Amino acid sequence: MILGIVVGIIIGALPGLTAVMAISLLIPFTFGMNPATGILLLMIIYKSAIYGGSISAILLHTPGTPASAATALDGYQMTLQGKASVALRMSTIASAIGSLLSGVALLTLAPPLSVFALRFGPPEYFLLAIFGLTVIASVSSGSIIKGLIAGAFGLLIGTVGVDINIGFPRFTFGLFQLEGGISLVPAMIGMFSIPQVLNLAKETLKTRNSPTPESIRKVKLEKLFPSFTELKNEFKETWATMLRSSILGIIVGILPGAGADIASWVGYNEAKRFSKHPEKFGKGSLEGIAAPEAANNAVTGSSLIPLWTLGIPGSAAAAVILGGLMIHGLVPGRELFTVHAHITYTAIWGFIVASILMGIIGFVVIKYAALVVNISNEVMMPIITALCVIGSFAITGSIFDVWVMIAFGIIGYFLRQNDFHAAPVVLGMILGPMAETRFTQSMVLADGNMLGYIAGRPISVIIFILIVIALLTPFFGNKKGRRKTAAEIVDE
Amino acid sequence: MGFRLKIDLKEIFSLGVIIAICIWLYSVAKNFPEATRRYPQLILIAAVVLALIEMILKTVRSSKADCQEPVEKKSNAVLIRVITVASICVMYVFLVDVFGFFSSTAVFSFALMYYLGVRKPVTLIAVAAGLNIGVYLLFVTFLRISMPQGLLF
Repeated sequence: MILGIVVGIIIGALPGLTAVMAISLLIPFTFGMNPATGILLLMIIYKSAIYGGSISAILLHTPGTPASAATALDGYQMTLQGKASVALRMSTIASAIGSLLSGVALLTLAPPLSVFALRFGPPEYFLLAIFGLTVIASVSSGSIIKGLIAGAFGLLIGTVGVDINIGFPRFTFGLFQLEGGISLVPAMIGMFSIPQVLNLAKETLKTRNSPTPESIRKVKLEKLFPSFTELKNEFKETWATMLRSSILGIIVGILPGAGADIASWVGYNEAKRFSKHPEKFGKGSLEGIAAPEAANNAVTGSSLIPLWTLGIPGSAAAAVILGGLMIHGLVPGRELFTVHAHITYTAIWGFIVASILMGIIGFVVIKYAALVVNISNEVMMPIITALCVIGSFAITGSIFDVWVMIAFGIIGYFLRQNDFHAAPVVLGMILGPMAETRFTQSMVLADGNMLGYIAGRPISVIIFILIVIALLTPFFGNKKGRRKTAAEIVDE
Repeated sequence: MGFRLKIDLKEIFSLGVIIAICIWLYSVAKNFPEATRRYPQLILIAAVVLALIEMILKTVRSSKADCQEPVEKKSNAVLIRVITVASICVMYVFLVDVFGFFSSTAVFSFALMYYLGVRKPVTLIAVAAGLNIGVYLLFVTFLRISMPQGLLF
């Protein structure tokens, strides 16, 4: 648990390395662990990386993860004012509180919601898979159509291998290694990590032209541990903001498709609206740090609620965690809270305990994490690539999987260059086999008349309407005005 | 104010490649039995339709745009760097297959850092050695994960 928190914080603090990449890299190493420990480790890495992102946001004005972009606004101002320690302390406390409340929400809301999943039959599960893909497609890519194409690509990859219904090999091109299908984990590692390595390669050209000022790279951190009075005053000033942002973060996390980066901006905006001193926002306000950090960490637990109960990942990170669940033979739904209750509840309680631990360890690690953010891209690149090789080899011990990882890495880079996001591809790969099975079952049950069959099932109709809404929302959103990216808002 | 058709060549090319691959895979799937080919063919048709819609939308949108936004040209240096790093990564996997993980990782990390401009011998050696030692201690000793073996180690 402690190792997971430390690793997560460090990876999150490194600009350019995302929480999703960290989770996908570590999935293979959870394979040898018992499922509860493995799943817990992935959850801990997720939340610690989201918190770690605030360190570089505050010290370097470069969010370690997109979820920390809002924190950079006030955090970096405080660093310039010589109050980096206060800003880091506030981000640690707010992250721990947001994460803790999120864990409590997961514990209390997920089990009753999973009962609802019992009413689902094959057509509902097929439509849910399509809904999950639609939602991820609409939020992860600039264009929903490109997101859907990426999702279709993922579904297609899911068809590679021997068809379980009649035993016919599809798209294997004579390679016997492909008969079992394309291994999910190596493909996932490749899609998320190798494009990152190639992007860092591009960054090395830029940083040589515009070196980071020495004054920014050498921030002095003094007095991280506050006196009781200081702590009391800071808490008094921000507790309401932290609580409000945590609740907002939990709600945003439950909504499929939203994620930590959206939650942090919602939390920031609401904190500014409710604040007695809105004029201080953007100039080094403590509330401006507490709000986004509480909100983005509150997402980490609550985004698992739709994932564990209905199999809909709320974010790219949750999609990767779904892959982690599946390699341990766990399937989202009611069984997670009945047959596998010991695994699920151990993971949830572990998540809650880890939230408190993250607050404590955060204080100790911040100082060292602040040093780590200065590691150059040139050094990070071979380390990440070596970890990719180990991770893709670890599960089956086959070098073919390492080639799969590299191939998907290069494909992932070209997709990213053309504005196709990796998240829908991975989700398509995960949901593909389930979607095909449920589609075939539904066709049999519907006796060929799928639309008529769906129309007679109220839950199916509701999911169908949700799919239509998810498809149309981005078009209406575009008409109102393009949503600013985190980077653009930081630039302002 | 005339409506002039403006084509975003990069977009058209990438979407065109997707459509071409889909058509090729569709023809491959034609050889599958009826029950097996239905689902992948459905996905391929959906992908082609979506790519065509995106192509039309992109062309209409860029034609409607009044002002010509300056297109950021990618420098050759960036392209060369990305291709070289990708090639070094591919070579690394090949070396791992032939010589084993640890020796290949030492050569790979040294070569990659050198190419990226790291010239300090201490850094080059420390990272190459440190990475191998770290991986051995954490993954082999602690997590008991086997590493790819080859002619060397």
